[in-house]
Amino acid sequence: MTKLFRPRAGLCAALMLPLPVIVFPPGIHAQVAFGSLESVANYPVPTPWVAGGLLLAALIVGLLAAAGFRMRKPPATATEDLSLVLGTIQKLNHMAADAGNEEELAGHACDIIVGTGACEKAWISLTDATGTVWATLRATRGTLSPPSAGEPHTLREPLEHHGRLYGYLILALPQGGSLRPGAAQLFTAAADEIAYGLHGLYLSRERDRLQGLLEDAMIIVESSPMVLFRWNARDGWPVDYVSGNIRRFGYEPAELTSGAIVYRDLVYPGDRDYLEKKVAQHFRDAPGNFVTRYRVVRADGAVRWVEDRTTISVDEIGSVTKLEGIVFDVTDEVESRERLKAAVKQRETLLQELYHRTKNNMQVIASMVALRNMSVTDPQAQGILREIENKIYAMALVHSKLYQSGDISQLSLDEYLAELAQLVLESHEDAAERITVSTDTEPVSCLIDTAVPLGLVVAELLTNSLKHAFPDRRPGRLALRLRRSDSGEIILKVRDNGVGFPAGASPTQPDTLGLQTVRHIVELQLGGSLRAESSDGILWHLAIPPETYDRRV
Amino acid sequence: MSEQDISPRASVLLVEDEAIVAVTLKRALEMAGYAVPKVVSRGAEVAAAVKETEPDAIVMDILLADQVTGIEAAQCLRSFSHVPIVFVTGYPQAEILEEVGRIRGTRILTKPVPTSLVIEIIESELSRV
Repeated sequence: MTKLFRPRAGLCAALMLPLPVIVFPPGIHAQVAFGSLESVANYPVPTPWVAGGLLLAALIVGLLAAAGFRMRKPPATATEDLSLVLGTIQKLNHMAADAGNEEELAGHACDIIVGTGACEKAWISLTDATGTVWATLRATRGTLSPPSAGEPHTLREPLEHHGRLYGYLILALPQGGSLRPGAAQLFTAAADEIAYGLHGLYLSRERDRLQGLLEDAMIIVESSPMVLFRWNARDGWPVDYVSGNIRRFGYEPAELTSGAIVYRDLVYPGDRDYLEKKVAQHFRDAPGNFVTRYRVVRADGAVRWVEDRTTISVDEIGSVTKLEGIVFDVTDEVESRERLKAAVKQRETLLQELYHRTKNNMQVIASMVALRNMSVTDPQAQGILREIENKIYAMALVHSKLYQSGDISQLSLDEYLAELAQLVLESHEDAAERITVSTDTEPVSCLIDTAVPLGLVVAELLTNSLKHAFPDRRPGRLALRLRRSDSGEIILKVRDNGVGFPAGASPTQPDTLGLQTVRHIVELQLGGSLRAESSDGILWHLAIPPETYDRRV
Repeated sequence: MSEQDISPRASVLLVEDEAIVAVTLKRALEMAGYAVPKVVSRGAEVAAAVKETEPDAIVMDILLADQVTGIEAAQCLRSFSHVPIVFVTGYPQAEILEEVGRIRGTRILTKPVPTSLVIEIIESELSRV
């Protein structure tokens, strides 16, 4: 146990002696200075027995010297005063060593001080870190009434040590307020001694508390999967320290700390080069923290994935001084991530395959319609078959856009409708030569469930315009405008600058099957609204509420 | 387009394993004035068919009835023929587009595709030759 000494300014003041000359020889003084450096973790409980002995010797030397120096008083009186101081300090010192707690220490200290006869009453107010008094202990000489705060003729000494205030020593002086010789020095020295004792109790408790915290922390560490390591930055990374939970990997800590097994032996052979390069790179480029994952081999031969979070400390010339870190098993996570990746990949592959098959099937259906069309001669029948074929392409285009979007259920409606308009135009004989389509869109994404019916609606409206709006092969324009409103509605306008509705036709009650279907899709399937304006051609207004469908895949 | 525009009658080799699609394309091409001397459904048959019929253009699916893909067949063809190839596929993955891009004289269309568009592309390819 470290011996704790300290130079006590209060006591030196009491003795009125130059400290280095009288109290300690230079060598001892150096030890005192060193011992007073506090480290809470290993700060010992004051050992006044040993300290007191040396101090006593020093005091006696000082006492005699002081007696020689203080010429104002007869030597005998000075000796008497100093004996009182010395005796009191010694009593306080012994008592402080035995005190179990602050209240006991303060109570006994009051008794000792009053017992010297230097004061009538003594009391100690113990304060906490905020300065609040949490206990007051007192002693009274003879039959006098207990002291009370604010009493005249009192002295107050702070109980302070190493910048920490533990309370106050308050003394009531004899009637008349005169101090007997040496009393002032006694009180200062006593306050210093009491503060020292209180500080010792504080440190002792703090040490116990920290020890407890450390033990609790180690229990948490040991029961956690986090294995603590300190490695030597030498070949093979021999282990300096490892927490007991390395047993999770089947090894005893001593096997590693003895050097029988170095850390490199634990690393899966296939990952050793990787880890060495990784560590070397961090040594060279970026001391500090690094995180990496590799495999280790358990004592039973099982291979486990671990995550390693290591801190590399270097000195001022860049040499590695410490490698400390935690290593924990992440096998379950790595494996489940791999499984998840494989599952996602499989799902994507299946969906892509499904889309491809759908498109191939659509090609077959479109081909059948086209083939049938080649064998009919009735122009009306040919027109109907061509329309059906075009609708198949309109639906198939959704799948192409979906594929390009990289999403499996959402696509870019603006791109889809622009391409669809072009497709419809090209599929009408000679229309592309005399009709132009312009699009004014902003990016709107939507689910395939909305895009397919909306595509059919747009294809039908454009086809209708191409068929009826521009008779006698007249030139014209078609326009699409697409927006999403602040409330999420898809707002679509489809316009032509053709001849408008024939006289007597009602856009609200269309008599053609195509327009009836359009109204049906917009209102019943998509829950939206459709209206038409006839001025300089026809303008269709469509408003589709935010996704009617939930995302399915 | 009339038959007089293609003189002499250009021939197209069809490589397609889906019979209905093949027949439809064949008839549409013939109606547009092309000769379709042969339709094959297996990648392994392509080289021999090209040597046999010496077509002016090829319309070819990518996934065929056998293990030889249209792309592999095209790569093989390029060792002895520069005939333009129009791929028609339902599998437009980026890797496939990339591979097709590396073969000279090829175009790619995504299924389903109107026969009119296939014919239009063949016309434009032949007009470049």
